Amino acid sequence: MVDDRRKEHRHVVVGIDARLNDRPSAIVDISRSGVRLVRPADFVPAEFAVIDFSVNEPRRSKPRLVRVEAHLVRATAIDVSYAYAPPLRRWEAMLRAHDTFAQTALTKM
Amino acid sequence: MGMQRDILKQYLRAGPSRRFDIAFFTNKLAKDSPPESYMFANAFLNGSILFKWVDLGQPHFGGSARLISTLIYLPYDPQRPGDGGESLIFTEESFLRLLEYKISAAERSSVLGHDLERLRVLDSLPTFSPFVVELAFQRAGIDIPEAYLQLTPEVREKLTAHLKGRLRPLIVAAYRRSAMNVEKAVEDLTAKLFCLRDIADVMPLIEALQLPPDIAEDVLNAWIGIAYFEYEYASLQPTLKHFAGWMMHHAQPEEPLTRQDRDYVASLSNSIRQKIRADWNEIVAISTRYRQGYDEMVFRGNLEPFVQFLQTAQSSYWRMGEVLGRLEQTVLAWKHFTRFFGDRRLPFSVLFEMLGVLRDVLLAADRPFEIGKPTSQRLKAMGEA
Repeated sequence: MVDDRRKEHRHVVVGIDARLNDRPSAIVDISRSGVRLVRPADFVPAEFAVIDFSVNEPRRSKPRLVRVEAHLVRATAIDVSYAYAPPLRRWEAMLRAHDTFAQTALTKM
Repeated sequence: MGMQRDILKQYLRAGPSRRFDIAFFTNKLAKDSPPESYMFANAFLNGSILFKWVDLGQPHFGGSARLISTLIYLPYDPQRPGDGGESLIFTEESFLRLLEYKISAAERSSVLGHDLERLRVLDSLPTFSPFVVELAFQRAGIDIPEAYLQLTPEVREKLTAHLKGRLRPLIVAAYRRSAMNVEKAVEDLTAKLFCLRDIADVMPLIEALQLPPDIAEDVLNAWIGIAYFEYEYASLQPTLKHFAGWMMHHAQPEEPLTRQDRDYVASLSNSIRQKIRADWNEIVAISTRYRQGYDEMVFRGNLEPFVQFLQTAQSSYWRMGEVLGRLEQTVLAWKHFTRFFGDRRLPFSVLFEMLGVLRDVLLAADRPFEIGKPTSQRLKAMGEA
């Protein structure tokens, strides 16, 4: 899965929040089957973690909650990376819809 | 200086990136509002309209990245700004001369710093886009009345989230290379970079990006500005492409034309289309270089392309501001002239006038305004260049 993740498109997203083992943790980038999070203060990474994504969607009053069980890929002093099985069939499309670069892409005339 | 009436008309019709209508916001305030409710301490400035002014005939500040000046326009009749007024390009010197002309020495000293400082901030920007203006005043530590910023909390929140979302991966990538212990500080540093006041706060980032400290703040602000402009351009993109399609298929009058007129219309339409395409594609190229540099740094750990991009970030930022103002004005003019016709062809007189306006907006070097008042009544007569 780690190798797959390297091949996946990584999204820089807006409107998706994450909680890592119930602690708020900002998303650095996210792909179909992996996420890199800002390491919470005093966080001790274990092999497995539960990550709750809260996805804000324009036509929904409440955010959609998506939970994944993830395993640790890498941890540094600044960030932690996890791999997980894609939680929804439309997960990649959902990520793309929240990708700040995709939302502001300019195409030649 | 004076103004040409047709150019003035175009500028008064410009969008928010080129026009900051101080008078409009002032007029919305209650008459008995306290002094701090106003943008400026000088009453006459609160009746002004500020324009971002591209004077292609002037040298640009010793060849620096700046392409745009700030023009202060003071209508003779605030209720009828199109009827003419006084104007001057803002510099500290020209502003001091304006004050000497407008108010007594005693009044001058008490309000000089207040207004000069605000004008300096506004002049330091290539655009009056409300978000850029708000951010610049925040960075300068100056509170300005909210009534002068038409920015809804939703838009502000959305833009802030976009920019901070982009800054975070970059901070992580840069600080990875740093020996500093920043494990608890990524969010704090993201916020500090977003609202940069002291470069010491983000020194490891500056070192990682190999920026000379004396220009680091300007370069980082320019880069954040470019990220913001992508958002503005993306919002403009569908309308501009609709306009380009309209020019291709509908920029012919409903009446039959003589061959000479037909050739003239075709040639002018073609020049306008080419200019828009060239401007737009230049912006797309800046955006592409920015994104490639960002991707390399954030996802592949290769700093070089982003460092190279930053070397030209300031000139790209000003260029994006200049082109945005022009394209925004183009679309507004097109909407104005076609508002009663939808996608139908225009009568020749309307089409001819519209193409003339677009030619002036897009193709002609901006000219000084010349308004129908005697020269002696213009600020130019005070010795203004």
